Amino acid sequence: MIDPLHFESFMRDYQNMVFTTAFRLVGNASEAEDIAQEVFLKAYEHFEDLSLSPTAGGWLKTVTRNLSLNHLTRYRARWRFFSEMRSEEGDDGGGYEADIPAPDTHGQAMDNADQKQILEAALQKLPAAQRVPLVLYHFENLSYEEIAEKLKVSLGKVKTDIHRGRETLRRKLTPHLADAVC
Amino acid sequence: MDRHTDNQWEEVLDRELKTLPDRQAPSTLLPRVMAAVQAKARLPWWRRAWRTWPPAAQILSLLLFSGLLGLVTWVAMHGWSAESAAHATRLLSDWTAPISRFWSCLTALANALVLVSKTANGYALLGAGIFCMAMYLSCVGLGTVFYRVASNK
Repeated sequence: MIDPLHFESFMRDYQNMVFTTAFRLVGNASEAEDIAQEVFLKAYEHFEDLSLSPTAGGWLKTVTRNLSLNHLTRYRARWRFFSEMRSEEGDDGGGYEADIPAPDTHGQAMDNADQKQILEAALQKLPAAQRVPLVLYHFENLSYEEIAEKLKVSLGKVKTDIHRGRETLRRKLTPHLADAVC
Repeated sequence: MDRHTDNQWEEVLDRELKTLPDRQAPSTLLPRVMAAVQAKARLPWWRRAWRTWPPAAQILSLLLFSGLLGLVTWVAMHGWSAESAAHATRLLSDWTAPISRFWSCLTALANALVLVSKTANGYALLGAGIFCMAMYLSCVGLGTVFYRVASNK
């Protein structure tokens, strides 16, 4: 019999990590919360093993990643055609920058927290076609080949999308992250 | 930034991204999960996942399933004769009687389409195909707009 208090404590330890992983992949807080709920319900079913496992965090991360990718495949495939059209138009669009706070114009270095906030916002503003492989590469430490396999796209497309995503971030973040990158 | 090559930028970006802190999970997540867990716990055992059933029920269900599978296999191998096939066909036709009218309409429509395709020229068929495709794309487009409006994206 699972002790609810024990499970609650387990959830408190991992809920931010699970939610963040899902949020970075699906790009929507409400959908990420639904996925996180599904992950913890699965964790509850395996809690007798998980509660003693030193790799519980890795298990949760893998399940979150897979459920998020399933979610994206299930609910976004039908809109991808239009989304990609929009994202290609918006790649160089000025509207993108409007959501990123302006750099400090008084010569004072921005503090670290501001930079992180800007980077997170810029990442979330990337089109899904670029954000998802970029997140899988940099946060989930998957190789290009693994990403291509997971997303069921060609290796070339993965490389192109990640490159475009990085270039978009470079263009948008250079003024903000000057201290960090120069 | 121009002096940074792609590789340097990749390294910088990787380092910066990996230092990003986790987001705060919504405060509603924990109560939602605990409520769902409690709701699951209230379900009778036979409505839960099979591997959580009591061992006796698991064994019994396995035996029943194996027996059923064996029966189906035996009937398929030995019990199938011309008489039983005719009886099964009669039963099937009785069951499908209500949809036979629908089937005849469908057949008539298919025959009409075949006639049209034989008599109409290629341009007319191409035009009809383009019209159907345009209608389909309009539906998908409108669906996309409604989806984006509804989900506020």
